Amino acid sequence: MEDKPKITLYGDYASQPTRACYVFLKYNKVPFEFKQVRVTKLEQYSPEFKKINPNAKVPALTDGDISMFESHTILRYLHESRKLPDHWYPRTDFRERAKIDEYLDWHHNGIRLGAGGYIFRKYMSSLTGKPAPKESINESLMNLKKSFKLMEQYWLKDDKQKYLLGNELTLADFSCASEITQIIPSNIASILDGYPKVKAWFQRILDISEFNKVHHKAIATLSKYFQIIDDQGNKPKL
Amino acid sequence: MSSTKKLIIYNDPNSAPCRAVVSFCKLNNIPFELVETSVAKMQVFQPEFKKINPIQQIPAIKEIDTQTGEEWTLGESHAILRYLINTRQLPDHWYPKEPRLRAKVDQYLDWHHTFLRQGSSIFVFMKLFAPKLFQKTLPEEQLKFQFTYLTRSLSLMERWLAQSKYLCGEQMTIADISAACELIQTKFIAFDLAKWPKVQAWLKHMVEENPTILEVHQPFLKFASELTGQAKL
Ligand SMILES: N[C@@H](CCC(=O)N[C@@H](CS)C(=O)NCC(=O)O)C(=O)O
Ligand SMILES: N[C@@H](CCC(=O)N[C@@H](CS)C(=O)NCC(=O)O)C(=O)O
Repeated sequence: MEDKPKITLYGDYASQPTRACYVFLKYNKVPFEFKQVRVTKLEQYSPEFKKINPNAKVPALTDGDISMFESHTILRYLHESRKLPDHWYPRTDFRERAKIDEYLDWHHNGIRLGAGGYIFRKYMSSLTGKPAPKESINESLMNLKKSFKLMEQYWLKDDKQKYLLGNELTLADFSCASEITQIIPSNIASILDGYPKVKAWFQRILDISEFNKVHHKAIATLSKYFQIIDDQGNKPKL
Repeated sequence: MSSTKKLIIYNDPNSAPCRAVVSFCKLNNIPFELVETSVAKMQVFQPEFKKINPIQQIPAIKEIDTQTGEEWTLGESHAILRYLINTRQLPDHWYPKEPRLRAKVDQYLDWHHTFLRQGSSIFVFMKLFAPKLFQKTLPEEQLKFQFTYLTRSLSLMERWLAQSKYLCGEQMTIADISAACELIQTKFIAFDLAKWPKVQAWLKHMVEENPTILEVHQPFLKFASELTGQAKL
């Protein structure tokens, strides 16, 4: 075992894909160092960070002399290079692996489009000076509902299934649950009641202590901030 | 294994991710059958197709075991490409096994969904096809916003191509196929790639070195040139 961690994860606790990578590292006891890149302070555009990720988004990861971005790439790379247990992303059952890939590829314009889109438009867009119009906030909500419905009917179809792709955790679970976390402190948390399988599955992931520690904090922080906006409307005085 | 398995691709020639999967199969002599599934005719919303791909998008594949009749389906172009590589004996360069090299390809493939695809297919659809096919013109501001995805994507690709011959290294990978099938259509928005000379040269090379890719694009090029009154190439 090396005594100094070679891995550095760059990101922000407020970022869903950062949290997915962070929890994955913690859960698998992979030693790493975490460096904060505060998105609200636009630190992702700093020249130092853009050397690591020229795409200027969090998360990013360095391992010795290589760097990479995109959370799903980071998860796949950690799994393979650190020889983590097979169930996360099976090495010989190619059909199981393909179904995980299918989820991970859908994710970007699926759950993230709805959940990330809603939170950005409803709670963050006013900070950029261009508050999103009602219709576009609604469009995100419709997207989110569509994604939840698909999860209910497809990935979580089987009542006895514990996780998105079977009875063991895969890369898909942390990635998806990290997106859903931000809905909990928002004004639309109750829509989850309409999707009981999604709700039960999310609770199962939230009960995992490594996941809970990080996400509990995120929910508390977001909750305070969302509350101000819910109370004051679109022009928050922070 | 593929000898007892029949591969079906649910395909619309006007879809960039479909063209990537079909091109890849042809380049590797993977036998397949096509089932035309038109987005414009709303065939992705038909109940029979929903059973093939609950996400209700194309491309999707079905594998049928010709001995047992067992069937298995999969959606998402990049998941399909990865699966085909894992299950057919194909050259390693398409998707290298070495974790660092593989991460470069994965990084492109993951990035693609929220960058090049937004800037290319989605932008071209909004700008060109939506007004012509559905008489729906989008506000200039929205188009401008979408357009920044195209320029931002091209700038990053230019950077990658300054470091290596292909997007993820010295050899062609599935990232190049996916990206080329997206970018070919930008010519229909009278978009000049000259500001990104490395990308322009790479695209030209991709098409010239792989006549198969151009051949797969013929129905789309014909459709788009009729719609826009522009020459095919
Ligand atoms: N597809 C990327 C998404 C990365 C992303 O969008 N990160 C956000 C934070 S959640 C970001 O860095 N936003 C800052 C910006 O866009 O300037 C991934 O999975 O890593
Ligand atoms: N991420 C998907 C994108 C697939 C996609 O967007 N397909 C479009 C055609 S290019 C489609 O089926 N659209 C129908 C719809 O969404 O209604 C992939 O790479 O396969």
